[in-house]
Amino acid sequence: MSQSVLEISELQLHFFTDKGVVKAIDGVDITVNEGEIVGLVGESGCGKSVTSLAVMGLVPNPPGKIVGGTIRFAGQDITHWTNKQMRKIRGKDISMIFQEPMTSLNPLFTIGDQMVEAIRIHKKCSKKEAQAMSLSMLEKVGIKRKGILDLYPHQLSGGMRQRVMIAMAMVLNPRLLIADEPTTALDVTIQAQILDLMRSLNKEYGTSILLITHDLGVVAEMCDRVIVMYAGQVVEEADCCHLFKNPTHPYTQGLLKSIPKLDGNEKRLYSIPGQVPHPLRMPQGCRFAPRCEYVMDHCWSQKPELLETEKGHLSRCWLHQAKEGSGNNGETNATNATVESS
Amino acid sequence: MFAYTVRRLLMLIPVLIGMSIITFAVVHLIPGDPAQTIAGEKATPQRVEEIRKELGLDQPLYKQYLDYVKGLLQGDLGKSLITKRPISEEIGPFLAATAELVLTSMLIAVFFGVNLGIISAWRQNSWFDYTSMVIALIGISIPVFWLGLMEQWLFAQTLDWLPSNGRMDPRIQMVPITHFYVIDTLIYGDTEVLWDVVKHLILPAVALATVPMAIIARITRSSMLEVMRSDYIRTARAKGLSEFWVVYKHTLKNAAIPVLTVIGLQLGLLLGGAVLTETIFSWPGIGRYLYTAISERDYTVVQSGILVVATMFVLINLLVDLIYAWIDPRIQYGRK
Ligand SMILES: Nc1ncnc2c1ncn2[C@@H]1O[C@H](COP(=O)(O)OP(=O)(O)OP(=O)(O)O)[C@@H](O)[C@H]1O
Ligand code: SF4
Ligand SMILES: [Mg+2]
Repeated sequence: MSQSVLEISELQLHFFTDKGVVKAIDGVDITVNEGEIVGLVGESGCGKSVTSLAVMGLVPNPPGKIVGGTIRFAGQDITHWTNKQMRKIRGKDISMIFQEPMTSLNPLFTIGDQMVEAIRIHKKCSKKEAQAMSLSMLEKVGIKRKGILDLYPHQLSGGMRQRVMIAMAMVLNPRLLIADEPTTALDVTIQAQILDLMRSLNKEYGTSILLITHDLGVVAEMCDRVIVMYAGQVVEEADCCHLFKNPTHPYTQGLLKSIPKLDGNEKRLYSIPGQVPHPLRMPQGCRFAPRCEYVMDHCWSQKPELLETEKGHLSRCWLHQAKEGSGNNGETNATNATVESS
Repeated sequence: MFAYTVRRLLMLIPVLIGMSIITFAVVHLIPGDPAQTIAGEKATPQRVEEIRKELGLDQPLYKQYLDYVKGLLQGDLGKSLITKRPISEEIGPFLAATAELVLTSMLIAVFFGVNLGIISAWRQNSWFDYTSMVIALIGISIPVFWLGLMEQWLFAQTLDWLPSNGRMDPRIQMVPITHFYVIDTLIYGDTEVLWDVVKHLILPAVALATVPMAIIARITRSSMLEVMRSDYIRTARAKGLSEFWVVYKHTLKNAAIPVLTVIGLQLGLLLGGAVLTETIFSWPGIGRYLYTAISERDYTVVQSGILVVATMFVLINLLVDLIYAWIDPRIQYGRK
């Protein structure tokens, strides 16, 4: 237990809007251990960003409010920490990089200004020292350009800016780096470079990384463990290779099937039928029921829980939960499903 | 920055030429014989000829214009037809009076407007936000002359706290140096007179400041709100920066550009709008100088007065542009 850097359990975060309560996070369990890279995947709108912002304490409140569950960081319960308490760890112990490298740096301040600021918020040192630290970190992320500290963000390319963001996030050697789709906005070669960079920083500093993405290819390449989210809930969790070989949740199976394959046998791209449920009109029972090919009667009315199917493999599906009367039927279906998709 | 400044200064030249042509035309567009019109119906023919000579109206048009521009370049704004004194000498004190009034109101408008806007945005949808935006709406809707008269009635007549007319107590004798009375009294080190001058400034400056303050508050608020939603503000928070610095450093600098535009525009408008306020508060400014000139048909004064005011307008715009470039590095590189 002591090795876990981040431990989110049964988190519930709702947005109280004029139109009603949006249950954006409704049962999220995530554990990130020391030095681990954990992938968090799921369709757009399933609550990946909100989850990560909740860890940072950056969900706008109002309308967002944590209504249940806990977030523990390095053993401390930070769920209800004030903004003032959170500020002490933000950027120092937990850092975050975002999807939009083009707009995530302030256009009116130089790279140097912004990096030095990030350092001097938390560390008592002179501007000179902070600049030296910035330069060596920038070099680590592969920026060796002369005078980089005096440049403005608009003078750099998207990939460069994301490197700067990473350097800024890593400069104080945080224990946890949350990367919210860090490569989505970049083209493929740059994407690979950035991922390489993150992996080597993980190796060198032992920084734990929570990598948010909707790209299973990225997960396969980078992560030790994968957590799959659907409509505000974690629906499956497993070791990376295990999950790819043996997905148990019908949603995960669908996700894996929808990865384009290069062998040319597949006539057209598979996509999971139907749509993500409207945040204000979530299904009563299993949230995936309207789109699930194995849906059973009680799926509609009863919420499945996230339970272990084998050691280290969790799934939120009635197919794998001994539910008296229907369990057998479910198990067979699940086996079939697994066979079909692999 | 230097190259940008030079470029921006060069761009002034055609503007200034255009303005000189327009003001030149003011006198020459008077219908019929300008000399006759200027001299008046009952003037003798000799007097009309005198005026024609005096104004150079007997010369060909292009020559008249060139002489006019040559004069301008040497700082010669012509002579008043009535007082016969050089306008460049006469206009100074009036200009200073207006500038002092306008700058004071702008200072009030910017200080209160910007801070109201920031706090409203920061505490969006709070009672503070609602109250200040209602006040801003009222501020925009109130006619300045009505506000001026109400101020006089309340603070001067009824409560007798502040004087309602002029720039200082007429019994005070002071030889003005810069004609900015606040500065002059400071130079003389006379705090008692300074206080009197400040008291005279308050009512007209507040009346004049209301509208720009309200507009600046609203623009600041909406601009701040927009910037606060942006990704780099989220980054600043993610670094662990305190809310104060997030707002006053990262947000304000980005929100400043539209606010500056409005401040520049309002400063120009105040210059024109001061005429009404000057009349209500008997403020001896450029408005009154021009008003008198028009009623006395002092065309050369009207001509030069307009040119001076227009030039100030252009210079204010130049200043605003240079401040933009200073704030936003993207402008200097030709990218907006
Ligand atoms: N300020 C807010 N007010 C109301 N609802 C919100 C707010 N912010 C987010 N949500 C809701 O939270 C849900 C999850 O959004 P989130 O941004 O976490 O999705 P995501 O998984 O990161 O998607 P993407 O892949 O597109 O980034 C959305 O359905 C959205 O409706
Ligand atoms: S619980 Fe039922 S509906 Fe939900 S994923 Fe499992 S089988 Fe499908
Ligand atoms: Mg997201």
